[in-house]
Order: sequence, then structure tokens, then C-alpha cells
Amino acid sequence: MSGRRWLALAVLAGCINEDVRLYEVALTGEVVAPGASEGRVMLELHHASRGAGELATPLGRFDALELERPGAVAWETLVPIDDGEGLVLYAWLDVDGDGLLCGLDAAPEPAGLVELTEFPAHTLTFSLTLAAPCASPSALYPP
Amino acid sequence: MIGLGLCALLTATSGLPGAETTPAAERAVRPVRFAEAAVFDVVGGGSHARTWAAAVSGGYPWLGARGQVGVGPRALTVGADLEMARFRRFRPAAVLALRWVDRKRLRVTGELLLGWLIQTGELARRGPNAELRIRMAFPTGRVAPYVMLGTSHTLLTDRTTVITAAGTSRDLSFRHEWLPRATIGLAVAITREVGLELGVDLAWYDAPSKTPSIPGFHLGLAFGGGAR
Repeated sequence: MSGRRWLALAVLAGCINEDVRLYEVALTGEVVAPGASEGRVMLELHHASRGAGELATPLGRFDALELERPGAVAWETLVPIDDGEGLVLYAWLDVDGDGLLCGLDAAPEPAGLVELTEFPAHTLTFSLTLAAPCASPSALYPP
Repeated sequence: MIGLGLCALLTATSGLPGAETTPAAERAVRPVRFAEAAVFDVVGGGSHARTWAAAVSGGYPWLGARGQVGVGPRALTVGADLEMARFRRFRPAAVLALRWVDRKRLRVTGELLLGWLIQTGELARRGPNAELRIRMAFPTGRVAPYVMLGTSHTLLTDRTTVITAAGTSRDLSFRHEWLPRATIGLAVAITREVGLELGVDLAWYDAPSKTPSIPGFHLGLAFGGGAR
């Protein structure tokens, strides 16, 4: 390594503040909602857990996506790998189009969750079935 | 007792070598006798050539140490300044000062500080820092009310690393921390070489997006020497 590079490294080591590492993942799969084929699908990506020791807590949302309807999904995302462990995909179907999961006087809206156990890998496949009415991510995970 | 001792010390040190002792001469010299006191150099900024001044101060949340020496005309001064806040924020800096107005009853000095910010803890920060200050002091006898206005700027560098199947890429991005500040205080010359100063410190971290910080205070001991 040249002297100039050593100098640059020394300067950066002394002045870097936030050091964010992002892991690129290409998700491909399918979202299925038995008995309900219409409505926008709200997808959320979570870490499986965050924190350490007594402060460890499950889940931690870091990205989201909306689909026009249930079906095939191709989603490229960046996972902040220093913020948590593991990868969990959650989705719910917005049957009444109000943007709320099971709002007042609304019909039950199906939700589902799948843990992507192959992470870390740059290419992941999944199949997600929305079968739990009005279930939030924390109601479905940990299983 | 302490008051009596201080009074005796002030009385004993108020004479100047070779000064006239007639009442008229005494009255004439009294208002400017301490105009060149070291503590006024510290709070008013700048030191005349061949003089030096230093100070240490403690308070909440700021603590500091400072040394300066006059090197040229118009009180051109170089020095070093170490500033700390609650032992979590440190800013060592080099100081360059020039006295713009230099009268017995008024001093106005511009200062440029170039240093490095190191802040530890939950809100850790580090990066190069530059601060511009204007100091104004109004010496009257042994005392000098003073005002310091400053604008401090720190360049904060962030790094983002993206790990893809094809490899790893790194990008740098930059943020700016602005800390406007002011100090209002009073300096008291015990002798020409030794003095005390007390000030209220107003600072605004991360201006203008954050709420202004609560005021702080400090008490400082100044001393100096050279051809005063």
C-alpha cells in the first residue's frame, strides 16, 4: 500500500462517523391469499431480531413494498446488516383499500409471515401465504 | 477572612513600579492601570507582542484550557485551546487572533480556531472543526465585562458500504454540524499577571434543527507574563 493510501486510511479512521454496511438481496417469490385475490399487498422486511443481551427484541422493520395484487414478487433491497440479525418477510392484504390493517368496522384482512433462513445470500426465494386474519408481525413472530 | 485577604491583596498589588504617587497622578492612572492585565487578554482576545497569557476554566458543561502568545503588531496572537464538555466532547484547536480595536476601554478581537472534534458516547462524532469568534471586552479599572460570539462548524464524514454479488463498493457522504455560541461574563484583574473570570455560556448544538441547549457557566483562572 502506498504512502498516500496509508495517509488516506489514517485520516478516514479518524473522521468516519456513521459507518453503514448494506447487503444487497434480490427476493423472488409469490404471495398467495386464499379466498381473496383483490387488494393491494403490503410487504415489509424485518430483521428477525435486534439488540443484544437484555435489550434483544424480535423484529425490526427496515424496508417496505406495495403490490397491486397478490402474485409474483421481484424485490431488490439493501439490508443494513449491522442493525440486526436474520431476515423476516411479512405481508398483509389491504382488502378494503384503507391502508390500515383491520380498521374499525372493516372486514378481516389476511396476513402472513415467512422467515428467510437462507439469509445471508444475495438471492433468496420464498412463498408466502396470507392466512392469519388481522395478525400483526409481532403476533406471528417468533412462531 | 477571604474577603479581607483578597482586599489586602488587591490593595498591595495596585501600585506600579515607578508610578507617580501624587493624588492627581493616581487618579489619572487608576482607570487604565490594569488595561494590560493578562485576564483581559484572555477574555478580550489577543496579546501584545512579547506577552503571553493562559487560562484554565471549569464549569458546567464546559471546561477548558488556553494559552496564547503575542507574536506581531495589532496583537497578532497564536495559541492553543482545549475545550471539553462533560468529558465527552473534546475540541483541541490552534488559535490565530488579531485585535481589531485596541483601546484602553474597548477591545475587539477576531479569532480563528482550527481543530478536531472528538465526541464520545451515544452521540459519538469526530471530524475537522473550524470556529470564528469575535471577542469584545470593556476594561474599567480592575474589571472588564466581556462578550464572546462564535460560530463553530464541524465536517462529519459518513461511510456507506454496499455488498453485492459482484463485489463491494464504498461511498463517503458529508454532514455539517453548526454550533453557534455566545459567552457573557466578567473578568477581574487581581494583578496584572493574575485574574479571575466568570461567564455564562450559551450554546446551540446542531442548530438550527435542534432545540437550543440550556445555558452553562464557568469560572476561570487566568495568568500571564512577558513585557506587560
